[in-house]
Amino acid sequence: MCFNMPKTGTGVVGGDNMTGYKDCVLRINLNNGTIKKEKINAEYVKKFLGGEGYGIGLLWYEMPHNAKAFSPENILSFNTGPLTGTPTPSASRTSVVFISPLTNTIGASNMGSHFGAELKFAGYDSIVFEGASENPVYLYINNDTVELRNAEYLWGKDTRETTELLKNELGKEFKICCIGQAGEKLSKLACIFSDDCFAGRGGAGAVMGFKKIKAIAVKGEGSVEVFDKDRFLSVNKTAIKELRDETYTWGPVHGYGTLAWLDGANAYGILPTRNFLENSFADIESLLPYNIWNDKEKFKVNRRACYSCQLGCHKFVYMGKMEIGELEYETVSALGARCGVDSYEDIALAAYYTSIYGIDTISAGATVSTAMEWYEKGLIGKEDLDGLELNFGNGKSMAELIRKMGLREGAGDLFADGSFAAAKRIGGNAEDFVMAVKGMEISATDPRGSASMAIAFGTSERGACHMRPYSATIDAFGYLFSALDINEPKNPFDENESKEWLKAVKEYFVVTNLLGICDFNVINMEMSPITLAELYSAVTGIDTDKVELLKKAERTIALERSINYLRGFTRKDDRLPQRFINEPAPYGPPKGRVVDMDTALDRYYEACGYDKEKAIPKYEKYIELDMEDIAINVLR
Amino acid sequence: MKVGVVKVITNPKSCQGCRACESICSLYHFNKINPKSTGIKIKELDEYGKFSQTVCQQCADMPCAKACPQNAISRNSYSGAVTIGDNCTGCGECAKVCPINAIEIIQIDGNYRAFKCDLCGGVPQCVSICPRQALGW
Repeated sequence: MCFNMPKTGTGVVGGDNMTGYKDCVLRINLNNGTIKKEKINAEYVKKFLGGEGYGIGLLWYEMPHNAKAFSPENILSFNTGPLTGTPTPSASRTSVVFISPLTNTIGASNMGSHFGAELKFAGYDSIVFEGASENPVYLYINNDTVELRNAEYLWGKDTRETTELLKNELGKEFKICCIGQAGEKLSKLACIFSDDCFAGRGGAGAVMGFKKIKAIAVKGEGSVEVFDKDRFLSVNKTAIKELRDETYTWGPVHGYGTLAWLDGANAYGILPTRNFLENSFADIESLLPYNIWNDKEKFKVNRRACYSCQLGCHKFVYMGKMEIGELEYETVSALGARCGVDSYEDIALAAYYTSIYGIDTISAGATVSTAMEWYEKGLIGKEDLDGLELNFGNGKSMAELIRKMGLREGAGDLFADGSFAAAKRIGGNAEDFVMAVKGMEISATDPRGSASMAIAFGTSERGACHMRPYSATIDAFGYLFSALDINEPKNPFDENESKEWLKAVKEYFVVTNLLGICDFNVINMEMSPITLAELYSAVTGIDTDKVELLKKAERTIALERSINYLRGFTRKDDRLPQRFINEPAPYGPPKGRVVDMDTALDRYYEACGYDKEKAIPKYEKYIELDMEDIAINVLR
Repeated sequence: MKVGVVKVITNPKSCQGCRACESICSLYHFNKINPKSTGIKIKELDEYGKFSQTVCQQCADMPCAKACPQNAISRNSYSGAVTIGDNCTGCGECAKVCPINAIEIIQIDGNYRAFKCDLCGGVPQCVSICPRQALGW
């Protein structure tokens, strides 16, 4: 059953001079190859703003709620936000929304690069894929010309080869996003690649692979309009100033990218090590960018920022002549500390495989680290691993297994769908060692060191995710933020403390996904939500304040939870693995700590106005959010 | 080519390729962001993460002005920039002679005209938005 709303757009959003939005959505039916251009759906924009919110609107209103991830019914959409393409810091994001094959929940994953801005310049807010193609295709967008083209010759090629082939054929100015072999072979860890930026988590690449879409190539020469230029220029200056005034962001992160976090996370005892058996890595020195990148004989690091990005965390790393790609915090901690590997060469090689075959580095590293624990505990042996010795710390085996996973070759097949799927096949008590929520591997923060991160990982609508929100900034690292009424330090070890603040921070993070800008504008509480609201108002001419902006995020989150609920997800699925509940953290400030999951969930659901069992908004909350139509369908 | 004194100075070694300069240039001059209508152009070279920056150097000898059949190009006495006047017809002669390809022929409301860096009339927006000090003046 799906909850119908007028399918085509109902018209202009922001008065006659529509700005910010392009008011055009591409709807591609892959079953019969038809391409339609339609107006943006004003209802979705009014309720969920755009970006991820728009994609979630599509899932709710236009897809049966029980649609399988690998079925033609699954709607895969690429959604830019109203700020994408403007000079707002990092206004580059495209949210890819789908039903995740990894978690079976909603999938929402967003990527940077220059793809989103180019899509806006070509004249489109979103691309919506319905159905599935029989033969490999790629979508060609050259301004007004949109075609589905044969991609037989690209099938089987890796991400960099595909990008190069398409750029040579179509022109260098085309921006490409594509999948590698992992996506083609429906690996549930497959991601979408765009110039070494990834829509990484949840298996978006596999959904593309199922629909037989190898790539999207876009060239745009049109414009993105701004409603009030003078207001925008003035607010944008404020936004940039807020970003540059944050000393950590504009210091180490601006310089070294997200790898700067390694040091702090390790010192604080929230760096996952050896599949979360430990929370601090003794050989951290060998992973720090300060130590590695200065070895210029071995490594060369070029900056390669996403569109309009001030921060520029994205680096392109060369190892000798080898084009490795991006190395960032999540990658190095997943493939390094988490697997106990201290060899930077092995980590770089494994990162290279994840990049060219198109698999999510976080889940891939986490799956290998889980396999390492299975190996050490005797649940799997060399015979299951094509002869690889998979002890913790064995970098060579780690990189080789990642290669096999990317290609689904030999032993790689067992792990190519993530640790949860592998545990099911291995049987016994293998599941006890899987560090995942809803089937998605936990990213690089140990929740025993931050009560709010325990909730964030547990309740994230797409599975254990580090960006919904990254709240360790507040409770573990002690940031205050008056714009969200966080005026006193929060206790990272107290689940029982009110979590009103966490609700606000989560909405604040989700707002960036709706607007089409990067989370790194807000990760250290840099850009105030007031500034974000001002930017949105200046660009679109739709006057919006902080409260309204956060409400749109709250509504999007509520809708995501509603979809998940109808797919069978409730409180029981918001729990962390038993390791965090039973085994105390061994090092650092969180030493001796375990997570009190029930209390944590209670406080969070209370703060959000959720039913404590169903883990969705109570009826009153739905009404408050102006979502009665949804409440009726969910609560009946 | 004799490079002028007051100009946007480029530093491609620091450029990260974000194109915020292109974006703000277009917005400032045309009230909208158009990747073609910009006085500064960033292109990625063959090596990943290496970029070229192209922006008018406000030449002292102004070959573009000499080539203009309409005499539409002159030096602005306030900003010091070589500027293209409203009588430009978009014939493209200036773009042909520019030694660094810093002049674009663009379309505004159906009419063609030449466009290049005019130092924003005094304070170049691209310089203030550049996050890596890859542009100066």
